[in-house]
Amino acid sequence: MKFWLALKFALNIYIIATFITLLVLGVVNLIKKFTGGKKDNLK
Amino acid sequence: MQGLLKEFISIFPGIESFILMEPKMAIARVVLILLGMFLCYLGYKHILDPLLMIPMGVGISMVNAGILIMPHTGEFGTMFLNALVETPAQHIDAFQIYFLQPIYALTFSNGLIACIVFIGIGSITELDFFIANPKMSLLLAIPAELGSILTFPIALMFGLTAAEAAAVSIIGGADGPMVLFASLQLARHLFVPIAIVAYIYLSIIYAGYPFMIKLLIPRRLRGVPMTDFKVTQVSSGEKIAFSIVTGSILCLLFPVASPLFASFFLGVIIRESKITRFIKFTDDVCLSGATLFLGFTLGCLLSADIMVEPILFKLIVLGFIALFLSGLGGIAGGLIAYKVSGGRINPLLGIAGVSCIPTTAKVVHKCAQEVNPQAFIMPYAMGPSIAGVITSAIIAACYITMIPQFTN
Repeated sequence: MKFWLALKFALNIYIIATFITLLVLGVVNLIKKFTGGKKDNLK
Repeated sequence: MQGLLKEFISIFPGIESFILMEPKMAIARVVLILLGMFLCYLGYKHILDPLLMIPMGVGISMVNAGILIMPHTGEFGTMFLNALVETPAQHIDAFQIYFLQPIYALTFSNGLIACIVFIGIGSITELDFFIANPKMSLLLAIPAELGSILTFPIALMFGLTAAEAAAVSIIGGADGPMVLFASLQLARHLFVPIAIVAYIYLSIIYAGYPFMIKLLIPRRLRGVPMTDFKVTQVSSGEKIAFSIVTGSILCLLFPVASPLFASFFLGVIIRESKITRFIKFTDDVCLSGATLFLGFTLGCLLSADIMVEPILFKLIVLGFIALFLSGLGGIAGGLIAYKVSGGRINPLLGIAGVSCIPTTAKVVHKCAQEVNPQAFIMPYAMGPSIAGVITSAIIAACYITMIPQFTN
């Protein structure tokens, strides 16, 4: 019981961290849009 | 004759303390003296990271050799430092006796040493590939945090409290200063063993992850040269804008971890602003000085009484699990990226997402070069590695902020 509760809590943290990481990705792309940098750097 | 021997031994308080202390503690002291020498040797031979292992090894050996019966308390102690002082009055007294006490009290207790290291790391971090390919870098860093997540319930099963479990889970982020900062915030009483276990494991990464890579990633995939990607220069303005905006947002979301975010992005901004005097200071003085005192002070904190605590064994096992799971997650992420990109992304980049900047990037570059000398993936690996620093800071911040809710 304790294990599953803790796992659920840890996975919630993972989801929040993933969401914030995607927010950071959005910030980078927004800055690149403003500064004229390429969105993706593939040749 | 016996009286003469006793008098002779009393001339050497270190030897006298050996005879007077419990046999279990005396054995632990001998083991630690030898361990310190061994770590020093491994650092000297560059098998483990010499920057940390040499000062840490010297500290472990010498602090355990130099135990004596303190004249003012009549208890066993050293002239190095006393981690048990709490009140301001005790600190003032301790400053007069222990030579490392000012460093410990003023830089360890409040996490300042971790922040100084982070300013230094920020000032040597090259953000070009990360900003040029943010999606790939950040998406590879997320699976590489698997150890930070899955170790938490496992640690609870080991009998640790929620805060202790979170502190040890952060070892999975493979970021020394982060572990130090988070353990001080979450489980202050365990910060010495957690930090020592973390730093020893982080040094072992250099030797351990190549085994995992060779075992789990097929040889032909390790040599993907990534010629479809080019490393372009990103303007300093973009990097500064990213640092100030992202740093501010992360501080807004997680004020408890804001010292770490502020320190890291300050280092990056100093680098990109090209203020030569600040760059010299953060790199030569901050990073080198903080790493030296971090290693030495941590070594001096590893005394025999910590060694005989049963929780140390649990921390050793959990630290291993955390880094192993993060490595496993990184490899899985790398293989998925390889598949999704149609074979253009080298799967080794996944393990570079396990932070530990720049060690993991160096490890994957070395592994790729062994298979294909044309595969120069170091600049590409720096992207996920930097993203790993950011994601592990986010996870550490989540734990610090949310653990009180879990406990309630």
